[in-house]
Amino acid sequence: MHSAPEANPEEAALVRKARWGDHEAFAQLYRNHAKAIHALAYRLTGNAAAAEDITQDTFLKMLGFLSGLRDDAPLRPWLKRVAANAAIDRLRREQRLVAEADHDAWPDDSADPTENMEIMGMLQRLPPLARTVVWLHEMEGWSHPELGKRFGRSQSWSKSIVSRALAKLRDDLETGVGDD
Amino acid sequence: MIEPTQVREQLHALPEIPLPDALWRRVDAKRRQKLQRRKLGAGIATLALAAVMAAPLLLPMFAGADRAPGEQIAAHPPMRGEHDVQAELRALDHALQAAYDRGASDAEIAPMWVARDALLTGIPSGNSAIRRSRI
Repeated sequence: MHSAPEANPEEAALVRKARWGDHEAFAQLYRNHAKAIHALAYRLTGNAAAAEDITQDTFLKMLGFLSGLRDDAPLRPWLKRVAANAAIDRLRREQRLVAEADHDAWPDDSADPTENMEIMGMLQRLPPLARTVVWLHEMEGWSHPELGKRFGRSQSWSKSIVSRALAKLRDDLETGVGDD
Repeated sequence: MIEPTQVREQLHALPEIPLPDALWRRVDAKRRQKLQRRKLGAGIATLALAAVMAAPLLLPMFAGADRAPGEQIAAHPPMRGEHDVQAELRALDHALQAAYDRGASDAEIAPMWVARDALLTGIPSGNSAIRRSRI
């Protein structure tokens, strides 16, 4: 993981106030973190509606007294972890994981190449599982053991997924796919 | 040949995802709903707790209504029987379960555990089955 950020006492106070119903405290926390959490959820799911649902649920979970968020813990990593877990749960619920494991649907050639014009660019051409795993590893600093455990697989499985995803992305970059 | 670092750079260089303006209104509306449910739940739990705690005090009054005029009131309130305690425990357990189900706060739940423990303390030591019961 990346180096652990320091807990922010002012932010901890905002969380306490928000939990007790303070509207302005909640609004401030949303302003500080919603963009990052929504972007992460969107990168992991590739779906605008799912990203909004995950962002909403993450912020509401923060208000829960039994949410597991400690006062001395920095908020952003906690929010990101909750959002990432929600995205993974969603992915697993949709049984894409099972389908891909069973049918080895790799690479995702069914994707429309014109989609590479969209905001997700080359990531969009990766299968959902690969996109989630490679983003968490490369951009969010999740380790292979963490990823393997969270997906109910081994760390070798995670290494394989990341390696193949990066190879696919490199290949796309070299061949110019996505640069249309 | 593209290097892995270049792939990472590309990932970092992906355009920002715009945060939909409407999302804040939606999240805030849900937050208000959640707060209202919490307040309602706290009110119900408090009422349930008050009813459970007041029951031993009120029962003799209702019992007295059936008493014939002139009948002497007992010098001591009747002792709570095992059945009464069990009924109160069941009521408390239901209130606790309902509170956990709706994700009630620690502040709301803690008094119910205190009341439950107080009930258990008053049970004769022979009733270990009741003492052990936890939800």
